[in-house]
Amino acid sequence: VSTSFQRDLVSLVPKLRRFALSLTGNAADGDDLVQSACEKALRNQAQFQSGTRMDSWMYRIVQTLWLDDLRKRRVRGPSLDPDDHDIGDEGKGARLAEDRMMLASTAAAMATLPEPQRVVLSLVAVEGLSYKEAADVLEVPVGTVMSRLSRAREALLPQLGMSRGGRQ
Amino acid sequence: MMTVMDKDRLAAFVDGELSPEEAAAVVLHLADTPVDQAYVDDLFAANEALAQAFGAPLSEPVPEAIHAAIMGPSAATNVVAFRPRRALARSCCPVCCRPPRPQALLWGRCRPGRLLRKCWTHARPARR
Repeated sequence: VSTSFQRDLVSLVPKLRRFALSLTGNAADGDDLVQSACEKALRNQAQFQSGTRMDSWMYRIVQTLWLDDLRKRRVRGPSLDPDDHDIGDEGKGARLAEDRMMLASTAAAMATLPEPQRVVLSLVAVEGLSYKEAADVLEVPVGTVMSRLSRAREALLPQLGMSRGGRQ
Repeated sequence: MMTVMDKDRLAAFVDGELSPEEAAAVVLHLADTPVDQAYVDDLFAANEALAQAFGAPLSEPVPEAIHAAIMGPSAATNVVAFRPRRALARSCCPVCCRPPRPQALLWGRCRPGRLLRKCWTHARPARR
């Protein structure tokens, strides 16, 4: 018999995996991260205040665990071999080669960003959170979210081949 | 005389952080400031590239190991593929939902309250 907490958590997994993938840059590390985060969430279930947003709470757990993990053992960086990105990906080898190349190059660009900037950019650009929601997840002021975002884009746009505008 | 707009404000526009009135003012500004329009196009394109590059998990089933970690191993016998529908990415004029200006890149998502690219009719104030 599953609780509604468990069911809600399962339904968040696709978004958490996307978030974790954007942080770690590869599917295997991302899934490890999501699994640890879910285990931690279950252990700390009592700390979750029902009525508050579970997704924000889970994003916070994922990014905290990721930063802890990096600090503990500077994990291997995102692999540049696109084939590695399909490990642990449930037979999704069917994904187009172009998609894998795009993941590899975007992940490599993301990997050059300092971690706090990467987290903010993921939450806003990938997960679609508002600045306020991202600030709540990270427990920082909205101004901090904006400045990290702006620095992240400053560094990332040229790497993605997007700085035609001349506004640099 | 062309005056550029603060980059944070342009970013806030792209991220859907502005009120409809504020966003409308940015749209008018962009119509007269190609350099800022190009920057906004870059920001939309970057957001889209990021969302696409990391988007695969949204159309994949929950991996068994994660499902089992949450539900307990006994519940893992019948893992149902969870396929949330991806938000329909489209780009259209928020006023009339027609395609945007021809030279505009097709980036960004159209949602209520989120002012994106306008079509020719609505992108500029009426000229006499």
